Amino acid sequence: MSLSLADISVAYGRKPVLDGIDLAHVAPGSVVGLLGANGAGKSTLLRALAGLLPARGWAKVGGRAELDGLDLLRAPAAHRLRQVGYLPQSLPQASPLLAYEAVLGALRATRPDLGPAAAEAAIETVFAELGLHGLALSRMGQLSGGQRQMVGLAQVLVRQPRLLLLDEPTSALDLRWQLAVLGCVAQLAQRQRAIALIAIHDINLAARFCTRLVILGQAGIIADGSPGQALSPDILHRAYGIHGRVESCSLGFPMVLADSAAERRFP
Amino acid sequence: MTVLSLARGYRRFIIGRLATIAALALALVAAFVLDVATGPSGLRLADLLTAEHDSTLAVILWDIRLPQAVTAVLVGAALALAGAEMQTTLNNALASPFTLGVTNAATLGAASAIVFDLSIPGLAAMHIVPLFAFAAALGATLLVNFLARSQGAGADTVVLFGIAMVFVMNALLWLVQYVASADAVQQIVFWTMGSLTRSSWDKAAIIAAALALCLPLSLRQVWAMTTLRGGEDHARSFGIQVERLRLVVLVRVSLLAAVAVSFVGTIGFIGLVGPHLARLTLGEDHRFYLPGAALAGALVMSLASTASKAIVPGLVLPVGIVTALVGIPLFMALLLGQRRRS
Repeated sequence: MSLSLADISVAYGRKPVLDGIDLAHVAPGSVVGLLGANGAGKSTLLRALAGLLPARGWAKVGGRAELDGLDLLRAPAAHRLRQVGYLPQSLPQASPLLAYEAVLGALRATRPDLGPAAAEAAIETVFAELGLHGLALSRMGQLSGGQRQMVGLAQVLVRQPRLLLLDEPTSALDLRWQLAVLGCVAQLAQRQRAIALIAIHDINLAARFCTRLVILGQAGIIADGSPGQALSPDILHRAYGIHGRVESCSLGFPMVLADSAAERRFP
Repeated sequence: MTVLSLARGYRRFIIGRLATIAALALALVAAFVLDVATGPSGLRLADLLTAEHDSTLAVILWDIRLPQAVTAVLVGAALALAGAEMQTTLNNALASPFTLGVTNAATLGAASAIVFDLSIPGLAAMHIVPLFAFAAALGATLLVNFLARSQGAGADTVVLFGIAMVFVMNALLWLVQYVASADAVQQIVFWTMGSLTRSSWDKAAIIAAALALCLPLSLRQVWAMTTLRGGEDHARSFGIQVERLRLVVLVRVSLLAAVAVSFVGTIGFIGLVGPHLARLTLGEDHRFYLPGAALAGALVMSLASTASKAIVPGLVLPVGIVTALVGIPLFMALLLGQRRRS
């Protein structure tokens, strides 16, 4: 069980968004943080791996992505859905659905073969693991944005995918839930020998929980390695256009301190 | 935390919803009986039921009151089911079966048949107007579908094409009315006001057939539709082909709306409020929401039919006028009750 990407490219019409993305041998249990400036292509890469780009018609995806022999970019949707869980960047809608139903619906849509008892047990487990028991029977419309984001994550985790593609899973969460979510994902990855690929803006949170950081720049990957290897003032400047420092916190994790913006133009 | 406590808690919700659906069904039966018992002749139900075969009373029961009451239930169910699916698939609580111009096209078809005195050899005159109405409604629907398909079938795209269709059909309708005689214009206006007095058993059978065709297909897609309520991106990530689902649903909705409108004319409000009543009482798990919407629509329509005969003694008002007047108090009561509880 491992994931490898070779020469992934994505173009919207004639505009290339990603080019020559290589990611060799991502081992099971890995939590890979995908960093980079706005518009660097983090979401696009996740959408491509989730098989959601061809649906838009005008996107062209090239290269190879293999998950333990499964060709992710060309496999039939049913095969991919068994292995891959994708959490979109947008929050689930504030609908009158119960949180329980939202998760049940996700499970029924992707695993119609699962019996009612197995489905109930899987839902029970995921709500308990994420600490959401108290919300399960509330309407989505009554939940806060962060709570809905947690339900969105529950919809993905309940399927027990081997590859988790999470697009900014902590964007709406407070400090406590940011730690809880990433801790939970890291634990699940370890326990189920799964791989998590997480697009995230909070570098320090990523450095704390990810086993590997991949930093996207305008011209493909500019750094790939453990948090200690991948983060440096030079990389921060190239990736984000900032002057910053990378220091070691008292627990030994690298900490990024951003000092000033070098450039303020969007490319 | 006890094992499987969530599942048990959720089962309580399900039991509550089943009870709500049963209550709706009972209310519908009561409304239906009341509808049959009411009429401009003022005859009581007991008299009608004990009437001799072939008597005038039997004719009133079997050829007037029953087909009208049955049609009311069927049309209400068809429009509300169509409205519920439309609101989900366009992700818009203001959508109704008529959002895409089905009514306007049907009215244009009917008006053309009336004004230009169209006829088809071998077909009775009374069938001509509904036939042209249906053909125009179906044509407009297929056109919107075709255009939407060519542009990727996004929810906004579909609504925009629908609005364009509404304006085009209205413009053409005004053109037809402009050249029409005063007498024909009056006929068109009467056709537009939905009325159950045009009901007959064969028309009811056709609406029932459309409903019998569409409802099972709707129920087969309840999980996909439920998931779609969580957001398009999320539904797509669960492997649901959102655009394809939307096009399939549009065909279904349009068929139901076109059949209903062609036979009884424009009946607004039911397709909008039926789904909202179901949403307020049952939530949006489509296993319960879709049947609930159909029942709620049938109930409001049946009550409206009774009211249309009872408001002015001896006179039957066009039911299209009455639906909003009957439906709004019911809707407001539920809405206010909901707010008080939360």
